[in-house]
Amino acid sequence: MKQRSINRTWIVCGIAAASLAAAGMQARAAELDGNALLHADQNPNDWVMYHRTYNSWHFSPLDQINTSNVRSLQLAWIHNPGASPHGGIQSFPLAIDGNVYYTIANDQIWAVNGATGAPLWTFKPKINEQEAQATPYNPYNRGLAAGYGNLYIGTVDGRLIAVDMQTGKQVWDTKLIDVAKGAKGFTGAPLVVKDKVIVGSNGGELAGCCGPIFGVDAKSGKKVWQFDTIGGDARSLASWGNDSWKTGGGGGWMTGTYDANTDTIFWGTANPAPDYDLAKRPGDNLYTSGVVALDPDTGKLKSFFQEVPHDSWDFDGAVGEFVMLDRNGQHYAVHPNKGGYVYVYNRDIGEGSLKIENVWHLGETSNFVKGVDPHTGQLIGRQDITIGKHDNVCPAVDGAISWNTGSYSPDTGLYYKIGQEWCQDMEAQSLPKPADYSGQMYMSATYHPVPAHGHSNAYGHIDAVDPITGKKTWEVIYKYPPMASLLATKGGLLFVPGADGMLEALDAKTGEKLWSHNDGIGHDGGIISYTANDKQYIAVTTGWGTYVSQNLATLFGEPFKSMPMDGGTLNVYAIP
Amino acid sequence: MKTLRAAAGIIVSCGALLLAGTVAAGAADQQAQSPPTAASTAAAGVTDAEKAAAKQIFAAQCSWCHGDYGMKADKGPQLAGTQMTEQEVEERIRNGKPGYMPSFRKFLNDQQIALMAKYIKSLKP
Repeated sequence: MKQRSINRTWIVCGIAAASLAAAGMQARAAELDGNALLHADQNPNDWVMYHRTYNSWHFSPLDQINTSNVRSLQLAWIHNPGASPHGGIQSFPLAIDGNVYYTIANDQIWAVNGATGAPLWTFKPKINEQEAQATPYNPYNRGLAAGYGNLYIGTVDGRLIAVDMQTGKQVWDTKLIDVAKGAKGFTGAPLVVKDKVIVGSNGGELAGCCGPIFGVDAKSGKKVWQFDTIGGDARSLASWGNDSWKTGGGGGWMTGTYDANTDTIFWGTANPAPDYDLAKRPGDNLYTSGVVALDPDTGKLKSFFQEVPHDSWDFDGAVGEFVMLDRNGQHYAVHPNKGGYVYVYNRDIGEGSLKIENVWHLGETSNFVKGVDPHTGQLIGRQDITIGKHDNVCPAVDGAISWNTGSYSPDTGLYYKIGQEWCQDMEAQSLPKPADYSGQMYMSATYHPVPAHGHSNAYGHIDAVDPITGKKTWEVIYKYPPMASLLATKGGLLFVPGADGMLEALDAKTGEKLWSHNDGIGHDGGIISYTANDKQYIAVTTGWGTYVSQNLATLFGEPFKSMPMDGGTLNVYAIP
Repeated sequence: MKTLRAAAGIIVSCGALLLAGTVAAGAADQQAQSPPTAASTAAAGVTDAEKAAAKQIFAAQCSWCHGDYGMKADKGPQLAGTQMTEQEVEERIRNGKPGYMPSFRKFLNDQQIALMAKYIKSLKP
């Protein structure tokens, strides 16, 4: 009897503790407002946005797992979310209050316990397949934003949805893009800035207009502003000959960031359409293939820089992060372009275009330009595509830098970034202009991936560089170019999720490999670190098959030819 | 296991024009086992004008996934040498294959789809 009483007491206490914990978590989740996100760097335990913090460092300040004990790192749990067709898992997880949230194809969200992987809830929106199907990016999804007790997801059929973080129930659902005649939805993770959710559309290769970026009220779901990356103002209109902006693509398909000092959103923009047939779109084609700086409250353009004017090669500015650094009184934003050049901007926005402080080259086998002026950012010696002529272009349409992120460590002062090296043989065509803005594919070439001249095959590399000067401290060459994001930690480690399924931990100072584990399938998404019950975990998505990673089957054959492209898992590691 | 590997080898995960059993990718698709028909053999007579028109459509719509005007495997399989019939190719373009390739009925009319099927069947690996 006494034992039963004690057990009952424990049960009651347990329920009470669980209730308190749940209430506490709910409170903390609700407290994740614009101000809390601004100070995300002060909470080492969570990963609350795509870039973890607005400075885009993708750096975890946790050090329980470090260079001394990483050899003991073991798989703690796996969560299998079910099928993730047509491209595996490309998501960047979030970790908040000990829970982990991530997405799979068709915009399905999973919430799991961060200590055990036990499922908490899943949310699967009903996608309008008729609207989503025509985009080649369907049904990709690359992540979430969090704030005000909600998770936010952009969908491939053009909606932004808020889901209650605790229950998984839909809070609001706002249709932002009319894709009735075509398809230009969302695949990138949104970004919460102050009281708004910012999300950018796809569209670079599609015959349509106008590649919008949206600002939406985080609580109500009401659209507050829209910035069109093409055709939205007189300067843009004047940069597109023959009204070509109407079918000019554009967009901002990856996640930008926010600089509180200047109250500015920095967002990368996608390439113009059509690819390769330049005569169809005379002019610079603003604001494609560059960076726009926007007022977060109004969406008004404050400044911009076009990294690739009149883009001939599909070298978006949409990919990559904006690594924000302050050095010697200067405020920098470091932004990689798909062409392989890394642009260092001055964040102190004045009149006119963004000020270039430096441009350095990560790519190693490029021939599309002879260089980029480090003082002005202007392309030097561009080798434009010629209609009807065979061209060998390096890098290929996939870029020397892809959309997954690098990582910066304030401890080493090094920025870690992946370069991917292959080219394409191609022939461009002059095509009739589409009759409408239907969002159909608008390429104008045939092409095929090939190794760069002088190389027996494609390859990849991770460079550890000074992010401002580009000076290299070390480089590790990879037979198979890694395709996923990188993670640097306070523990002195750099985690590299490999294309062949190997997850590696390198010494962040030297590049020496300290640990590895085979996840069984290639990595194509995000990697984070967080704590649950005061214990540090490393969480990485597995799963294969993005548009870029599919090249590896053509270039290498196996193991990529046989690698499934319809699934993946969330693998989580800890020191036992 | 061998069948699974062959099937995986022809999986296409981008907006592809055509997922077919091909000589290069292996013949895992049941349709790839179909014997040639009158429709498929009749395709050889594509004119130069038809070929030029088909290559324009290919460059706009198909090159995202299929390499070198269909002559090489890329994200999608090599199309030259497909053992699908011309009618089957038409249906694949028109309806797509869920999870692998979108339908192109929204962007290509029946005449264009027929032209593309004829062009693809004319390709010699």
